[in-house]
Amino acid sequence: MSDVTGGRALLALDQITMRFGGVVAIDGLDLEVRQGEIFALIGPNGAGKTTVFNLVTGVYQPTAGRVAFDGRKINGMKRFSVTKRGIARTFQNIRLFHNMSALENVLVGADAHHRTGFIGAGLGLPWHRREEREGRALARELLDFVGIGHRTEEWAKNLPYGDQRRLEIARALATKPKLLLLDEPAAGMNPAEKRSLQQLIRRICDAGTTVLLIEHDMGLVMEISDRVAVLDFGQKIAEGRPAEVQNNPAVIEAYLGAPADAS
Amino acid sequence: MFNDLVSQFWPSTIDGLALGSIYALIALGYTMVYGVLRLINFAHSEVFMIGTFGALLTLNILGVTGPVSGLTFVGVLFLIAAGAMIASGGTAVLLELVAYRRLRKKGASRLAFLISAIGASLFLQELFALVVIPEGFDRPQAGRIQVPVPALMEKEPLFSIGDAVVRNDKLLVFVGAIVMMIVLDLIVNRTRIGRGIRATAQNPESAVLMGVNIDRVVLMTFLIGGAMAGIAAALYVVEFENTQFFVGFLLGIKAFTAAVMGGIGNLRGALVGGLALGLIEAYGTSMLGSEWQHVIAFSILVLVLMFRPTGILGESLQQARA
Repeated sequence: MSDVTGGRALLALDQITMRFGGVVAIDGLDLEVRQGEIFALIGPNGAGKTTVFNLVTGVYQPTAGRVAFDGRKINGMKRFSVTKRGIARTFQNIRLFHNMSALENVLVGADAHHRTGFIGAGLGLPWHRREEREGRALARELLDFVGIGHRTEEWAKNLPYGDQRRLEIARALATKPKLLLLDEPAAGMNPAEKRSLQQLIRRICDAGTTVLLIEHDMGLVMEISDRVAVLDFGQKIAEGRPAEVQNNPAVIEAYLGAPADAS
Repeated sequence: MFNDLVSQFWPSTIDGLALGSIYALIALGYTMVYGVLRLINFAHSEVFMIGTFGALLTLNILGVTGPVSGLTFVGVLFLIAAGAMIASGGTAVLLELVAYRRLRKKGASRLAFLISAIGASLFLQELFALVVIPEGFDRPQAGRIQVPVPALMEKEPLFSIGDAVVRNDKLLVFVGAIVMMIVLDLIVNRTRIGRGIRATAQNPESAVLMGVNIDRVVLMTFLIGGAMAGIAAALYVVEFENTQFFVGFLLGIKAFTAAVMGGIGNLRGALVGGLALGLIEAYGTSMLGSEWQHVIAFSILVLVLMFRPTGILGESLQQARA
C-alpha cells in the first residue's frame, strides 16, 4: 500500500484524533495528500469525512495530533490564515453569498490576497486600483474556467443548482489555493453534469492545484482519483489506487455490512 | 386638530426631515452592527454623545466662539465633523474591543451582550457626567444640565416652500445626512471592505473560509457606524447649539426605533425609517403639541413591532443568510 511514487506530501495528518464529548469522530488518523494528485476520501455516512475537512480548514481543532500543510503545522492557526496559506474548500450544502452577483462572490475569494488596507482603498491609491482591477480580471477568468462566464452579473441565488456548485468552486479557486477541498461536488447532479464536473476537476488538477475530494459517486471517484482512502467510524480502513481499494474485503464489508453468518 | 396639521404642514415637514436625518445617521450604526453580528449595540447612543463632545472640543481648540461665514465656515464644519468622527469612531471601536470581542470569542449568549452593552453605556454616561456636572451640584438635577456649544452659523431663511421658510441650518443637516448616506452606500456596495462586510453578514462561515478576517470586518463595521454617528453629532451641535451627557439616551432609542421601522440590518431602511420617524413626530406634535413627541415615537415603535416586525424595507444586509 505504501507506493511512494507521487510527489512530496502537501498535506499530512499525523495521528489525528477528534472527540466531541464522548464521541470519537476521528481516531488516530494518518493521511498524506501529495502535491499534484487527486485524492479521494470515501466511506459510509458518518465515517468522519467532513470532520477531516473541518480539521484541515481550522474549523475544528484536533483533540490530539498534528496537521501539517506545505511542511508547516497549521492546526491552531486562525481560519482565515489557513486560507491565506493556500487551502480552499467547497461545501456539501452550498454556502454562497446569495445576495451578491456571481462576480462578487468570486471577488470575496480574490480579496484574500490583497494587501492594500481601508485607507489605501478610501484614497483610491493606484496600488489599490490595480489590485481591484486584477481581482476583477481573475474573477472573470475563473468564471469562464468553471463554465459560467456568461452569468457574471446574476445573483448567486438565481443561478441553477449545477451552476451554484461551479460558482462555489470558482470562489474557492480565487483564493489561489495549493490544495482544494471538494465536499461532495457531484451531489444532486445528473450524469451529464457529473461528466463535465469530472473534466473540470481534472483541469483544476492539471492547472497545478492538488485536489482532496469527498464523494459518494463511486463511478466518479474511481475514474478520476489517483489515490483513495476509505474511512469507517473515524478510522482509515484502506488506502491505495482505486482498483486496489475497490477489491479490498474490509471496504466491501464497511459498505455492505458483514455477511450475516460471520461472527 | 387637523387644521393645525394642515396649516403647519410645510414647516413640520422641514423640521421633521432635519431631525429625521439625524435619527437616520445614528440608526446606521445600529443597523450595520446588527447586520454583521446580529446583536444590538445599545451603547451606540453613547457613541453619539461622545461625538457631540468631540465636536465641542474641536470648537474650543479652534477657538471658535461665534458664527463664522464663507470658507472659514466650511473649514470649521469640516474640522468639527472630523473631530466628532474620531471621537465617535474611536468609542465604537473601543466598545467592540472591550465590551464585545471577548464575549464573541467565548460564544456568549445574547443576554450577555445586552448586559455588557448596558453596562458600557452607563459607564460612559456617568464618566461624562463627572466631567460635565459642576462641583456640589445636586446629582438628580444634573440630567438637565446643558453644555452650551458656540453657534457656528447665523440661522437665516434661505428660501420658502409654500408658506414654510427653509432655514440654512435645516438644509445643511438634511443635505449633510443624505451625502453621508450616499458615501456609505458606495463604501458598502463598491469597495472591498464593503464586500467583506456583506459577505460576513450573509454567511460568516463561508466568509472566513474565503479568507475574510472577521475580526477586522467587525472592527470596520463598528468604526464606520461610529463615524456616521459622529457626523450626526456634528450636525446636531450645529443645529441645537448644546449637548449634555444624557443626550444620547433619547436620540439613541429614537434612532433604534428608526432602524427597526426601516428594517433592521437594512442600510437604506435606516434612511427611510429615520426620515419617516422624524416626519411622524413633527406632524404628530403639530396636532397634539410637543409634549406628545416621545409618546408618538414610541407608539410607532410598538405598532411596527406588532404589525410589521421586519420593518418597512425588511432585512437586506444579511437577507437569505444560510
